[in-house]
Amino acid sequence: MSMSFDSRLRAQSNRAKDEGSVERILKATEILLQERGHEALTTTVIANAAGVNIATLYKYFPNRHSILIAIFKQNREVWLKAADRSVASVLDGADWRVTMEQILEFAARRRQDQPGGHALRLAVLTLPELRPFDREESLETAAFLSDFLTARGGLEPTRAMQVARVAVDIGNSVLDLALFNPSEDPAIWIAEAKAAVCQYLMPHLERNDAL
Amino acid sequence: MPLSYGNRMRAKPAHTKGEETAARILEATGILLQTQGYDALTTNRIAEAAGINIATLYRYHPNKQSILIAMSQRNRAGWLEASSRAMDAVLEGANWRETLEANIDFAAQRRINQPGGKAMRLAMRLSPDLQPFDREETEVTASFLAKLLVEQRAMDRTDADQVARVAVEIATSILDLSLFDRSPGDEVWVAEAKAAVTRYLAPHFEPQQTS
Repeated sequence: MSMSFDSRLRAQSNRAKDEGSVERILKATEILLQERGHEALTTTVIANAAGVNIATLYKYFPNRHSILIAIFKQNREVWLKAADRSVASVLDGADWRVTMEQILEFAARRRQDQPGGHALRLAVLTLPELRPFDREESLETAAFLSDFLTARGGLEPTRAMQVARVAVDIGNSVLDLALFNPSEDPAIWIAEAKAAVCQYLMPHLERNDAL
Repeated sequence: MPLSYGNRMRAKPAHTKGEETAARILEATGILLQTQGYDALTTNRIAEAAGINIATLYRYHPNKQSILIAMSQRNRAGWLEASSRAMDAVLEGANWRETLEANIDFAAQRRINQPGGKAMRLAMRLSPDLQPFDREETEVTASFLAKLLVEQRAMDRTDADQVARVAVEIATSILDLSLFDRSPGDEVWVAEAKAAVTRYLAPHFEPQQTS
């Protein structure tokens, strides 16, 4: 597991033992998110579940939000790598539509399959402390797509970024419908997110083949 | 007009001084939102700007969220009426694409032209207290589009509901990009919202051309 969230950590010493505690705190938080949602989270509850002393927890994290941010950032690394790989594969000749559908599938799985993924996404949408990180991630994702639109669709960079931002926003907001409609099959929103994103991008990517 | 939503509005106060005070509160809130934003909004400031006693304000609203909901409700009626009319127009033969684009323009104008429209939209989007209220409006708007898809395109009720939810969600969240990013100008996001929604709906309205 990469530790790119170092900057958020309060202490760095005593690495092996510390990484063990940090790992345990993050794992416990994911499980608590899954079972009880973000509103029930407190640092005390997390420390208990992780089997670490509350003082130890505070050595690494000033509050519960910083723990959520650490989890969010850890996921983001994995996500951005996947997005990067997808763009590279399309530039190597893979079908853009298939690749776009795969990446949306991946985005959906982050929310669905990962312990607490659903609750974390909900927290990101409702907690002001987490929103800037989500925005940042959307912009980074859009940057990958934007490069691709410039390389493959011949869009001018400013325009490519606008189209990319819109496409990412469509993907996110349609996938998020699953959060607010828990009684319905999440597969519906995944299918619609794919349709909406691909239909939106098509004129930019198939201008020549359209004839 | 089939505004099933009408019965949810509270009875209007008699045309009296009370009604005038209620209107003054909303007006002052709009101006404060525009000039200072949601975070700076307090019931004290609103009372002061409206030229009324704080005790008077509390007779109408327990907190600032309640004032925002009242504001949103006030212009919601106009919006829902316009949306419902638009869908009826398509049923009577108007071009679906032009009509939906005009409706998206209407939605954009709500945010842009109304005093504090953008700040209010931002609050609706970010404040957990207001989000459910916002979702409710999205659902009512979607129900008009779903009705059109069922009656004109003979779509299955469940499918129509889902497609309509997705279309409204896409339009809303793309228009909302202007709240977070002022650089490209509102008209860019309005144009992209139209493009995204009409491309997403095209296979449903024009099945033979897009398959």
